[in-house]
Amino acid sequence: MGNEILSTVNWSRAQFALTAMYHWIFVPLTLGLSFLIAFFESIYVKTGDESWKKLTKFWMTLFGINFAIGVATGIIMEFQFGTNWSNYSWMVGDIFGAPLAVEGIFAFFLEATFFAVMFFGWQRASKGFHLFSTWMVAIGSNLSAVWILVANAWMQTPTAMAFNPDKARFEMQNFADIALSPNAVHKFTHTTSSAFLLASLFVMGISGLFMLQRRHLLMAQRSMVVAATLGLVASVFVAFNGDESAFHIAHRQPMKLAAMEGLYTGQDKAPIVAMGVINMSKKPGDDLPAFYQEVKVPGMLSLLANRDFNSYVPGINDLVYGNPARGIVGAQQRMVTGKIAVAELGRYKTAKLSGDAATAASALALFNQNKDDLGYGYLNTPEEAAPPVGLVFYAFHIMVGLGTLFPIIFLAVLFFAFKGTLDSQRWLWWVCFGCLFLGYVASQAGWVVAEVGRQPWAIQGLLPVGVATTNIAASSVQTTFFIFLALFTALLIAEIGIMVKQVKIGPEE
Amino acid sequence: MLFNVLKDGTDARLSLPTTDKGFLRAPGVVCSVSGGVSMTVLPRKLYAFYRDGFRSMVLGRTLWKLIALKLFIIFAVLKLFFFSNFLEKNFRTDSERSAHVLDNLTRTPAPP
Repeated sequence: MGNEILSTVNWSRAQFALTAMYHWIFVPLTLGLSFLIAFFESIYVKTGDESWKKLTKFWMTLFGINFAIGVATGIIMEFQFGTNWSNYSWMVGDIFGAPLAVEGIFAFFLEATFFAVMFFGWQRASKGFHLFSTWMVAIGSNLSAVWILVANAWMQTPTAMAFNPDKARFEMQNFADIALSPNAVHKFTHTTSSAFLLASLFVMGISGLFMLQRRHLLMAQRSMVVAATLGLVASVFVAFNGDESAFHIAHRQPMKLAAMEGLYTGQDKAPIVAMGVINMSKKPGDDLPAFYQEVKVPGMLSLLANRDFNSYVPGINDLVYGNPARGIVGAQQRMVTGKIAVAELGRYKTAKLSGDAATAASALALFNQNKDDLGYGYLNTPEEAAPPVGLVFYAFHIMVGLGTLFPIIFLAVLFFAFKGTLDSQRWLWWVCFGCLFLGYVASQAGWVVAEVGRQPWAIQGLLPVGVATTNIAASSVQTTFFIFLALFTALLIAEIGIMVKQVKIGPEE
Repeated sequence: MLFNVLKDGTDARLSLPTTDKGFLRAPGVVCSVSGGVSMTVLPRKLYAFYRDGFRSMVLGRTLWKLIALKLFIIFAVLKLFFFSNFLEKNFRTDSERSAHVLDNLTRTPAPP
C-alpha cells in the first residue's frame, strides 16, 4: 500500500514536471520575443525604413509559430490539479482561483484583440495603431504571466491566508498581500527578465546562423545588435533580482538555499561554491564529505544570504536536526508540533461529527497553537524535509554559470558592432548560434531550482506532496504521463520543423 | 484610441464614426451627415477585418490546424477520458469534498 502511494506521488510529480518543462519551452520566447518585435517595429516606424518592417515581420512570424504551438500547453497543468492533486487543489482553491481566472481572461481578451491587429493589420491599420497593438501584445503577454507566478510564489512562501478546518481550505485574507508579496514580485521580475534574455539569445542565434550562411546579412546584424542590447539590459536585471530572490529564499526557504550550495554544515562566513562535484551519496546527518571537489569563495554565501560577510548560514543538518545554539528549530522538532496539529485536526473533525462542542473547541485551540508546522506532521523522518540536493545544486550552478556567460556574449556582439567588424567575426556567429540552445538550458535549470528545491513541499511547511496527491492508481498517472510525453514531443517536433522551414525561407524579399 | 476615418472601404482602415466636424461620435448614435460613417457599420467592418485576415493567411492556416487539433485532443480526449476532476466526479457537494480532504489530512500520512 505504501509503495503504491509512493508510486502515485512520484508519477504525479513526474507528470507535472514534464508538462511544466514543455510549457516553459514556449512561454519565455513568447514573453521576450514580443518585446523585441515591439522594439523592431518602433525602429521601423521611427525611421520609415521598409527593411526594418521586413525584419519585424520575419521575427513576428517566428513569434506566431511559437505562440501557436505553445497555446494551451499550460491548461494541461490545471487539469492535473483536479485529477492528480485533488487534495492540494481543494485546499488552495480559494487562493489560486482568482489569479488563474484573471490570467485566462486577461490573456484571452487583451492578446486576442491586439494579436489580430498585429498579424492582420499591416495593410489595414495605421502605422501608429499597429505599433500600439504590437506593444499591447508584448505588455499583455507579460502581465498575464503575473498571475500564475503569484500563485507559485504563494506555494513557496504562503502568506495572507487562514486555514479553515471545517472546509479544509486555505482562505485568502488579503489579495494585495498575496499579489504583492516579495516572493511574487521577485518571481515576476526574474522570470520576465530571464525570458527577455532567452529571446535575445534566440534572435542572436538565428541571426548568427544567417551570418554563417551568408544570408540576409544586414537584417541579421541589425537583429543581433538590438537583441544584444536588450539581452545585456535583461542580464543586469536578472542578476539583480536573482540576488534579491536568493536573499529572500535565505530567510523564507533556507533549506532550498542550503541545497543550492550543497551546504550540509552551517557556518559563519559561509562560502559560495563556484563549482564543484557534489557527493550524491551524502545524506543529512552522515559523515560523508559533501563534495569530491569544490572551488569555494569564502564569505560570499553569507553576504548573499544575509548581506553580512560574517554571518551564519544554516546548513541542511541544522535545518533537519535543529541547532539550539543558533536558535534554529529543525524539522525534527517541527515534526513533534506538526503531529500534534494533525492529531488535533483529527480530534476536531471527530468531535464536530459527534456534536461534541467542548472537545471540538479544545482541539481547535491546540490545532491553532501548532498549525504553523502542520506539514511537518506528515513526514516520517526529519531527513525527508531535505530536497534532492544534487539536482538542486547542479541546476543552480548551471543557471548561474550560463547567466554569467550570456552578458559576455552580448557585450562581445555590441563591441564588434561598434567597431564595425561584426560581419567578420565568424567565431562569434558560432557562439551566438550555440547560445540559442544554452538559453533554454539555463531557463529550465532555473525552474528546476525553484520547484525541486521546495520539495517535499507542495505548500511550504504546510502540505507535503505526499498528502497533496489524489488517491488514484499509479497506473492511470503512468498512462497519462506517456500520453503527454508523446503529445508534447510531437508538438515540439512540429514547432521545430515549422520554425526551421520559416528560417530557411527567411524574411520576405 | 483614435482611428483614421474610413472613406470608401477600399483603403480599409479601422474607424470610429465621426461627425462632419471630425469629432468622435458617441456609441449608439447614427451619423447621417455626409462624410461621417454609421456606427451600425462598425461591427461589419470588424467582421470583415477578421474574415479577410483569416482568408489571407498562408502559414497561419497550418498553425490554426495544429491549434485546432491540439485543442481537440486536450479538451475532447484528454479532459473527457483521462482528466476528470476527482472531487467533482466522486462527490456531490462541497461538504462531501471538504470531508474527504479532511479525512486525507487526518489519516496516517503517506511518505513523500
